[in-house]
Amino acid sequence: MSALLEVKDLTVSLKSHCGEVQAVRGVDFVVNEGEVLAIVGESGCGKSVTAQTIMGLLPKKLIKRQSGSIRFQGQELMGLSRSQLRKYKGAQMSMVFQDPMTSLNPTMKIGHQIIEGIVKHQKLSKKVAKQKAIELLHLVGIPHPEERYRQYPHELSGGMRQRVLIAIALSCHPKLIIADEPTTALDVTVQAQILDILKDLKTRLKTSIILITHDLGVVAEIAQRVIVMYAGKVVEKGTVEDILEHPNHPYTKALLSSLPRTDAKEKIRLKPIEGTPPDLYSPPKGCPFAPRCDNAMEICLQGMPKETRLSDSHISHCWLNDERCPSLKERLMLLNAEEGRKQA
Amino acid sequence: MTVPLLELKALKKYFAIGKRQRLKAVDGISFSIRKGETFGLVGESGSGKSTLGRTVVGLYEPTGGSIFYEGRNIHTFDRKEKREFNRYMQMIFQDPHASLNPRMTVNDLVAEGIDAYKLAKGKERQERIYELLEKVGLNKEHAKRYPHEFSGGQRQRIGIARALAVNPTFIVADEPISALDVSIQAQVINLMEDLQEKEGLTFLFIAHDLGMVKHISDRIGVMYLGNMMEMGKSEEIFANPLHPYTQALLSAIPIPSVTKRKERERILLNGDPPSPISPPSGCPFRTRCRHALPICSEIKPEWREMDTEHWVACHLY
Repeated sequence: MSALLEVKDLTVSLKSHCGEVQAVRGVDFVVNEGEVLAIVGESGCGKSVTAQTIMGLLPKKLIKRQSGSIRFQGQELMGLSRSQLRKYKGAQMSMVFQDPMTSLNPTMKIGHQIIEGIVKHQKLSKKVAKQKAIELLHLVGIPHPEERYRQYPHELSGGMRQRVLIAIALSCHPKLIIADEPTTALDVTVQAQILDILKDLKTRLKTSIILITHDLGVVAEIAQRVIVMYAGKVVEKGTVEDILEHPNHPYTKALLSSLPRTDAKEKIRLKPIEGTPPDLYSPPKGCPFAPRCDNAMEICLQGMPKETRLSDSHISHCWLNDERCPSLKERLMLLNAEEGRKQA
Repeated sequence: MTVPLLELKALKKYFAIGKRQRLKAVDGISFSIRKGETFGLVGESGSGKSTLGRTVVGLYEPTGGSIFYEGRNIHTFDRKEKREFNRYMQMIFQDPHASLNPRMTVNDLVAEGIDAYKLAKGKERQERIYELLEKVGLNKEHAKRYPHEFSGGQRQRIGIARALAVNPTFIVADEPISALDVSIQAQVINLMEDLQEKEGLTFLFIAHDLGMVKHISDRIGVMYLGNMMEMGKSEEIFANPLHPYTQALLSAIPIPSVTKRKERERILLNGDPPSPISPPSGCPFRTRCRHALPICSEIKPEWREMDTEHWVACHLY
């Protein structure tokens, strides 16, 4: 497998009325051909800004600073002009948005919204494009595509609209689809249908997908690799097995244990993560998770932890993995000794 | 058996659509909720679960059927009793961004109910507000601030404090956590559980997140197109779902584990739920049901008790 997209040290800060928000603070990752990479994190962790930066969708007047490198099939996208970028975005990479209610144009028929991109990028006639659009609607599992082609978005249900969005994203055979919370607005039963379509696309068309989500259940369903983001930084990355079965970072662990277990026989109290994520106007200089972390040490507040390679695929950013860090047993002993001293 | 706190008998709520059509949002639902329990209501969007919750607290006038509070039909209440009943029934809303008036301070927001019912005045009133804020995990300093200064989780806490301000017995929580982040959801759920224990509250918990519903509920009801399809103890519903719709719904929950995901069978439902304006004849679920029989399109299945406290409406049983 070779890398389709390589993101290195991506940093983005945005202008807002209260100052500069450091939304993304040095993010690295790779998307290989034909794989699904999930980006997981809470709201405000920078996952959507990362996606929009890759797609070049952030309005210029909003960006305060932007640095790092985004390489798509070896071509550097950072610093390209809008017209140069157009060759890639929409054609080779496309995006599926979260809210199928607001991301379609309500005054345009479904069919016209699909062929818009085909006509523009592939220079086909409208007639051929229509044929293609109907095929696409069929591909994403919409019954009676000829009739749907002539309908308006309001005549379709949420699940159907999300399928139309996927059809639009697929219209120019992209190598990469970025799906930003594609199933969050949908019911579980419809969510299962949409995830099946995405899985099918990956195997049939070999499309790579970046899936942005906060739902670890969806991650298990579809992704091969996962990166976990917190406060604009990647805290852990690895294969789905690494992240869901052997999480290393305390944040990943806490996220997993805050979920209710459907297989539990009796009621176990949920373990929430106390507090809230840090303010990104002035992000902390240490590990951003330290104030909410059960295992936080002094060093965690002072400096960012380096990356630790736990295996070929699994990387975590946590001071607990530092060789100088005492083991849990030793730390408990130290803590007890300290308390004893205080009491004395 | 003791009298349940709340009993619904063949409750109906129809909305008029134009002159001829009617949307049957809740179409004849009967069940009861006991004092101190949490009843979870699940179903897809458009199943009528929110309408049911709103009808129960009195935000909608029911089209048919009756509601009994502690054994008394609320329709027979006089004005004073009705007002008192409204105090007992409170609601927590889904969107903490939209359900708080942005121009009121937290202090005023929480005080609204206290003032409306003249529960306390002057110093006592202020102390009560502080006490309520502390109860939901906020503090005195927060009272002077405005809603926009709070995060989603904190705003939901303000919403809970508002509901608690008038000493209710019954709280309808309509998707109270679906607008919150995963790590914050658990905080709010734990708060609700603690309050229930301390104040002896009864909850009607409406959500589409089945995992959370199972966690918090003693009993669960599954709704589809305005009808109750299955109802039972929460462990029983999860361990032994009878209705094909419940089975499909449960199998669609994404499980955050690679190994467990491989073990289970997925039942994929085709299509979307039909429109509640023209629901299918007979069983409302038959158009998407994999076990549909000819009888399903002719006769609406009866609501029957299959096991102790495990009710289902399906022709298979």
